[in-house]
Amino acid sequence: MSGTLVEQETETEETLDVPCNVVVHNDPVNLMTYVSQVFQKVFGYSRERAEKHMLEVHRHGRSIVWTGGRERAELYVQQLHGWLLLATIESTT
Amino acid sequence: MRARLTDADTIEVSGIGFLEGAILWRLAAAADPTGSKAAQERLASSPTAGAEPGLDEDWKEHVLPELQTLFASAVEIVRFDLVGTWLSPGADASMRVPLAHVEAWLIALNQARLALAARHHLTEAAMTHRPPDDLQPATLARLFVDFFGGLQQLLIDASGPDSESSED
Repeated sequence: MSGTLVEQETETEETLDVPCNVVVHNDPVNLMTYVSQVFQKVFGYSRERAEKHMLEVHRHGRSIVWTGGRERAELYVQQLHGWLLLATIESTT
Repeated sequence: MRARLTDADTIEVSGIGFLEGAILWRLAAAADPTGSKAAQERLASSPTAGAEPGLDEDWKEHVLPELQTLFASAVEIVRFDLVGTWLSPGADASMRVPLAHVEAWLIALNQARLALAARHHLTEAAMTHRPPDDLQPATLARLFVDFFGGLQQLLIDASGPDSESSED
């Protein structure tokens, strides 16, 4: 889909791991500024990058916020759940 | 109600009216999903949306308890900060939130908002339109959700990189 942001990160130790997407889904209760701040805290994204993903969640219902090894993807989803965002892991294959 | 950095380590929330304070004191109860399957499910969402039952089961066994401990801890921190907030009709109160506690506040406030919305089945439309002119539980829940969201925003603004501290 044009305009869709896909964050990719390659790590040598995870190259044999199945790549996964970390997807955040829209929740009308969460404040937009809160979601943006969580992306900055969890992924270390800049405010601009975090807001692009937040707006994608808001407008399109979901955003792939990170792609990489499964183990790390699960850790990110756990962190996002800790902030009470609706986040899931999706295999890219 | 206002929030500002008073020094490098503390946010002061002032102008807390009696009614606002009374709602704040209900935060822990509002965040508790007990008795509502919808609220419990929202605070324990699946990491795969059901696509991988094996991972969902492992998650419930190993990860969910950790998350529930985190949520309970956040509510306890809020309770601790509220202890010094004395309320009396006709007089505004203030409270001090250490910067180190802001994340706990944001999580506890979000927990309360999500649990209330799920418990009372507040739809996206119900969240965006003006609340109805009645005193039904769902209407009150919507007001609580809005109030907790307003406080979340104040704390985000006061703790953000653009905020400025000021000394009295």
